[in-house]
Amino acid sequence: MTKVAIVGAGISRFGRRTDANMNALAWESVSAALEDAGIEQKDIDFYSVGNVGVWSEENLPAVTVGEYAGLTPKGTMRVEAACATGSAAIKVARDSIASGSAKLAMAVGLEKMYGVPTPTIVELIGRAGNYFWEFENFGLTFPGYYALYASAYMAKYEAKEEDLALVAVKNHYYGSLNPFAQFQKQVSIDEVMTSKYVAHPLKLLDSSPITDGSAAVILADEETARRLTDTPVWIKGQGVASGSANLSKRSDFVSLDASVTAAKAAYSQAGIKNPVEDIDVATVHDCFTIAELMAYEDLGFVGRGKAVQLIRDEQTYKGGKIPVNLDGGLKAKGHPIGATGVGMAVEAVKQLRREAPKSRQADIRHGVALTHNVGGTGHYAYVTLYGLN
Amino acid sequence: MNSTPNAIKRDEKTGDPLFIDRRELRLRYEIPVKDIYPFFDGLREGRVLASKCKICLALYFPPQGSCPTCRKSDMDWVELGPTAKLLAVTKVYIKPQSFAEEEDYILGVGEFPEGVKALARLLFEGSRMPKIGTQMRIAVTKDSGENPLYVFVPTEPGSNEPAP
Repeated sequence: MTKVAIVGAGISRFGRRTDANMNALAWESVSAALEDAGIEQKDIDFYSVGNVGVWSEENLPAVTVGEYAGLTPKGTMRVEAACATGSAAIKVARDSIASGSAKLAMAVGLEKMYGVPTPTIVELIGRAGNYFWEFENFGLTFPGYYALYASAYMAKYEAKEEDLALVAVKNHYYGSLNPFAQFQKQVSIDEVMTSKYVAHPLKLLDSSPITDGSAAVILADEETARRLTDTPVWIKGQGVASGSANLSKRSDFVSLDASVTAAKAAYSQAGIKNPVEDIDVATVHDCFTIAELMAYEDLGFVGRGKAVQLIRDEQTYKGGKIPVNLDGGLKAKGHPIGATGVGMAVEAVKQLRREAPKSRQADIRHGVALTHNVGGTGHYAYVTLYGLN
Repeated sequence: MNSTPNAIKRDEKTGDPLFIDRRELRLRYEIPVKDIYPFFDGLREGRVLASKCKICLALYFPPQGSCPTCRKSDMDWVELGPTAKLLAVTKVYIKPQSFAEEEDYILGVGEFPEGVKALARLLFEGSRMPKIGTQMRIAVTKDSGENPLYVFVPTEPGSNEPAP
């Protein structure tokens, strides 16, 4: 495949953004990415906009963002892959370059979730599976999906709710060091354990928040990338996979098959033999604490049932065997679902360029970063490897 | 004299001005069920039916009218259960808007001896969560709107195992 690199990256502040509408919110990251790449809008050949929407005002965000950001009349489309939408937008932009139809392409991720009341958001996210068989009749919620997995995982591997809480404690710690994060404060195990149940055994502080935010990356072919920057961040591999819409069709509830499939493909493309050895830093899809633990296993960081020991030993902190979510993760940085995957790419770029704040900058030895972005509950999975070489 | 409604409100937390949309959208979908109509016939008779491809004998639940392997739409209908094993379970506290009036409810995935699984409500007494591995029975009851609905219940009344 044609080599494709990220040559510019930008991100908005995540949170409850009552100060910015969808287009203005997107502009924050688009303008930062253009500035970072040192290019103008006219240089972009194609842009994708990842946005799930319905809870926000604009139905055609690709064109409204393009108009506001001065990208019209460039070709565009809106992309959707639930919470993996951002990574899907990157795939579309990368493929447009790999096919030869574009030299410079932008992927924008955007979500404005606070446009409607919370119960409406719970309703809409609850439909992120099989609407008819699992929502209409029974009222399964999104935390409920992951809670089902947590119940089976905890029963099989004798994990405790306190073990899940360790993930929240770690990610809030790193969120406290990230000025773009929604929650810039630490939490204790006690605070997590005494927070209210959302869907048993998951509690409020096991859960990522509702978030407004945007992120943007600019991708280029090899010739253009080398002309624009001395530190292109190459996309070394991207594995994509899907899972059944109905949770009742899943084989078990301790692992996301789509993550496993996507990781294998990405590792094969990027020549990763031993992920813990070969990868310097990872951002994984911790929409709920249980999701981060399953990701450790699905991505091959540890064997089955060993994720709890990895977090207990603090091996996913900076300086550990494999640092995970040094930006605070979805849990503390926030989860604007269409923007999350692009936000992960921005973090990978900052980490690889050694531009993260020192307190949360990973030790970059191999020049390889991983992002793991799941849509729904393993309904979609995108695993992407970024590298300096 | 200001006869136009003022659509701009201040956000309670941030004080930022917000334009409150005056065009409300209400959605109610009409979903065709012709190809799985025998399922609803079965439910009215108190039976939960899966579809089964007459050619390759693959069993589908939730039922579907076509077999993607054989590319044919020639289905038998077979009754599931009555017993199923609990594989995963949760109790939903924060509910969607359209379920807001209901009490907190338990949902679980049960696996039938035939190999297929179903997600449904668990009607178990007591406040403790049923244990993974619990044997259950599938039954047909009625939802709040008097529509027949399948649920999981204890294998015998009062026999649900206590959870830790």
